[in-house]
Amino acid sequence: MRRMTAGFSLGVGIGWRQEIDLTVPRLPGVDFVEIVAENVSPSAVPASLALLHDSGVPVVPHGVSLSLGGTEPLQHARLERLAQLAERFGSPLVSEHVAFCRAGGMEAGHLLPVPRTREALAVLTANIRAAQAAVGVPLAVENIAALLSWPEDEFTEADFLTELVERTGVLLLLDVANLYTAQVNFGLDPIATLDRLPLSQVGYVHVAGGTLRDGIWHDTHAHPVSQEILDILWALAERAVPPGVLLERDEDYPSDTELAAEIAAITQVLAGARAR
Amino acid sequence: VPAHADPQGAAEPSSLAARQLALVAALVAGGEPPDGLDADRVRVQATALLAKRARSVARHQAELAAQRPRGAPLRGLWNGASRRLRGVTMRLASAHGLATR
Repeated sequence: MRRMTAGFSLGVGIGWRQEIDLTVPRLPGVDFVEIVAENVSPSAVPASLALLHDSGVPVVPHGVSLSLGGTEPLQHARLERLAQLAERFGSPLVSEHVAFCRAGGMEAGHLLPVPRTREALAVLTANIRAAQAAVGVPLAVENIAALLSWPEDEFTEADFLTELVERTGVLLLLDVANLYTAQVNFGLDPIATLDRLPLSQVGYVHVAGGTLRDGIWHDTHAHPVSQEILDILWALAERAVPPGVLLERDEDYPSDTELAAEIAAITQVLAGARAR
Repeated sequence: VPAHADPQGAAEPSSLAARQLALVAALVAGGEPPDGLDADRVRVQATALLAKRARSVARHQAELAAQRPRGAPLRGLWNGASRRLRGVTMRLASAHGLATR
């Protein structure tokens, strides 16, 4: 089995959200948390998050609006915020998305897929390099959950991500729920994708629940994690040891018991796949 | 590529910037979907986006309500912010022919 080479170990984690700030410290088996960079001010960290960090829990800032795949220059203030959060928490890495979220002064308010073309690769390469230079810690970029795809795509998702890694040395934030989303919405083969990706470059992994509406998978982060998604995590863990695996939950928060069960399910999948 | 994507003709009509602009315009400003994209999927994306904004507005209104100052001077500010957030959602909903909850 291949070892990951990221140079840090995170364990199993959960997305820290203000709504569950008292739940997170009580959840058994949580080794690290991720914060949404746009929702936490480096100069006004919520007390519950500061306490959690003081108790030794690593905090990974996760940006959602840098627009690394956009053709407009990166916004300095957003980069600065990621850097400040990484410094405040001594984070081992920060993460963002292979996506764009604004164009021509209009905000989409959502992560949108870039066409997987040479032109987009050049844009992403330049932006990722600029972000790497600005944030001061390693950067990981995430495969997004897409509802639509571009007819001009020249690369598969695996080959596109591999190109980015080779050009920039960026780490991957591999979202197995988003691989499942692509399987349902575009017929992607998640196992073949895992087999083509440079898994040694995975910084950490996202797991989240979603729902099927009219034949389209919506990555809601508001539903329980389904077995199909845990199966992709299993297939990944059979192939490599990810430094971290993190559960994302953003809405319709279940009871503490249910959240703990989802964390335990992830832990069991990792242990089970490694034991084989 | 829709005409509105690049009225000045400054960029190549097939360029990444023009394509991205066309998609965002289709999603938030009622533009035509970029050529070759599945129009149904663009509609689904626009609806998902709208639902996300509506939830965000609801959450911010709840936070504003929780933070609402007892003193009179700031109450007008709170009411104004609340109204503006509602207005954005209503306009988006109307642009996409949807009812808000």
